[in-house]
Amino acid sequence: MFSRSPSSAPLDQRHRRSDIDFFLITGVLSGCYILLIVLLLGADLFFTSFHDFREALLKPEIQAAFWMTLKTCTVAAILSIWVATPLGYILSRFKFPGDWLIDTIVDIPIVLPPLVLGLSLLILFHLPINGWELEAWFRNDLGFPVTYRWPAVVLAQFAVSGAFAVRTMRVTFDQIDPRAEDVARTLGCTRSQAFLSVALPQASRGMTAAVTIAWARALGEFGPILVFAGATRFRTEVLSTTVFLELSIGNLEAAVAVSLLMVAMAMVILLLLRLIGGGLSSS
Amino acid sequence: MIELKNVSIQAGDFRLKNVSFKIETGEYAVFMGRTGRGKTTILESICGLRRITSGEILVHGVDVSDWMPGDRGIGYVPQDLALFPKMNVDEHLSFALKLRKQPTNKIQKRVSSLADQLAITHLLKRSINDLSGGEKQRVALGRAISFEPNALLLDEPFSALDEQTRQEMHNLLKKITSESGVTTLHVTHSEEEAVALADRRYSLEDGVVIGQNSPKKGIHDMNIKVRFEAQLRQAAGTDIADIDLEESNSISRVFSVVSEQFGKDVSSRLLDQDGNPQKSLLVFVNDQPVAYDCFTEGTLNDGDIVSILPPIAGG
Repeated sequence: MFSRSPSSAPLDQRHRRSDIDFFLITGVLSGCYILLIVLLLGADLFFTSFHDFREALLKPEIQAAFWMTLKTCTVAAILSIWVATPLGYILSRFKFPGDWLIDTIVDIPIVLPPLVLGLSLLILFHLPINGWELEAWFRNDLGFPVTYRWPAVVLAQFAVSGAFAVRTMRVTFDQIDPRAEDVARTLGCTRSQAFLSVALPQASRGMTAAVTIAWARALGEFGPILVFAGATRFRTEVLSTTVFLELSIGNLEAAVAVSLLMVAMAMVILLLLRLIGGGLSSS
Repeated sequence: MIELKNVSIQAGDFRLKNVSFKIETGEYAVFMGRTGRGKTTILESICGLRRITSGEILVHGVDVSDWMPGDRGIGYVPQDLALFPKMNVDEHLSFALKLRKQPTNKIQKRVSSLADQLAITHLLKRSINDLSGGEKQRVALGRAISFEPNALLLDEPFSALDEQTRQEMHNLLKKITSESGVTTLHVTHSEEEAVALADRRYSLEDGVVIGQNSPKKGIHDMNIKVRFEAQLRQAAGTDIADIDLEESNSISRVFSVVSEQFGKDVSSRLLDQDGNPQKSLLVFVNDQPVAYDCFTEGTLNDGDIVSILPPIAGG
């Protein structure tokens, strides 16, 4: 007698399942955050007018702050990637006594309140040690004053953006299989040759990401700059401090206009570097 | 020649103690053993990627235990091949030569010759990411032998290949290693691979390398006997045969002599370890059972590659 196999039993409509719940919950939760960001930008756009925006951007002090921002963010991002690439590689590839301590120290600028970081930089440069002072050494011996000058802006930005760049580079190298470097070493490479010829080309996309993140973090830095570099117009003023200065004198329109300019800069740099990153990764 | 003398290795909780074995110059040794026994660890130690805690690693008689990997002159093909994702095939084959600052024309000549040998000339400008599994194997092999190394270490290089490609690679590897005469140590789980390629077999069990056998060369100087089991005794009328190896220079000669002496169908009546009819026999060197072989098909012919397994307890 013919018997029906279990697999050919009639399908029961009641047992049909759906992924709608999953997409509904994740969509709503994600959408809330995206909506918040869009609303924030929309409110700024709604608040300001093209006239206010144009007027603010034509101010010489804001133009100076714009160029200062471009300059210091770029220098801070370059310094960050120079430090982050070797440090990220070391943290990713080697286990050594105290590696956990190095790992923790790298995270300190990320978790430290920005004002505390600025204060710490200020103290470091002005702490007298048997009559010797770091700031005095820079100013008198090297002829390169730091505090309340543009180098202080760079240093304040670098202190934070460097930590983010190190994190990014560590993850980048974690994702690159070290076996290729091992084989390169058996073929005749020293460690540095294996790093430069095998690991680094694979890390190009991660390096682009690290530079992007470092630049974006430097752009948004405010607390340490205010404490360590001050907010002197035409001297140490960057766009984040401009927002503060304009707010402090009640010029809300200019503050919002500068804020929007910063948003535009951040978006341009993110898109630009993402494009470059895509090109590098596919090459 | 590769020789390990009482080598101990500590890798985390894993430990290997007093590993010793020797592979003569030009030999093709196959290293077998169950997963997790330390075969890859030993290969990594030989090529310098893992430090040993004690003992000596000798390459052509020179202790290279403290040498940097790049100074040992050992070609290495790891299981995952570890090709360089940002380089094309040409760059892989010329990588080691450029590091040695060879003249450009010499590099081009060597790359061209290698590509021809490996049948990848048409792939030279292609990215590694656009190659098939078999093509990648050829590139990895070419990269490892490009600088004419003192020794070649292969760590299960064909485990991810389909049957046909694996067979092609066996033939290619056999041809390349025999032509270059490079001393080779090949880790594999495949009995078929071992049968097809090995001059000598080692097995790693519980941190001890066993199965060391006489090398091909010089075997005729030893007193070699082949013992047949059970039904074969009746067929052959003896259980032990002294083999005349006057002109032999390989262990395979032992079996071809057996074949000649007792007829071609002898091999089909041999038994396995449990006494089941198989194509198998025991080889004694100086009255010590050193080899046990099980043929998969066919009769014994001169030139057959014979695999060597660990001594049989109580054999």
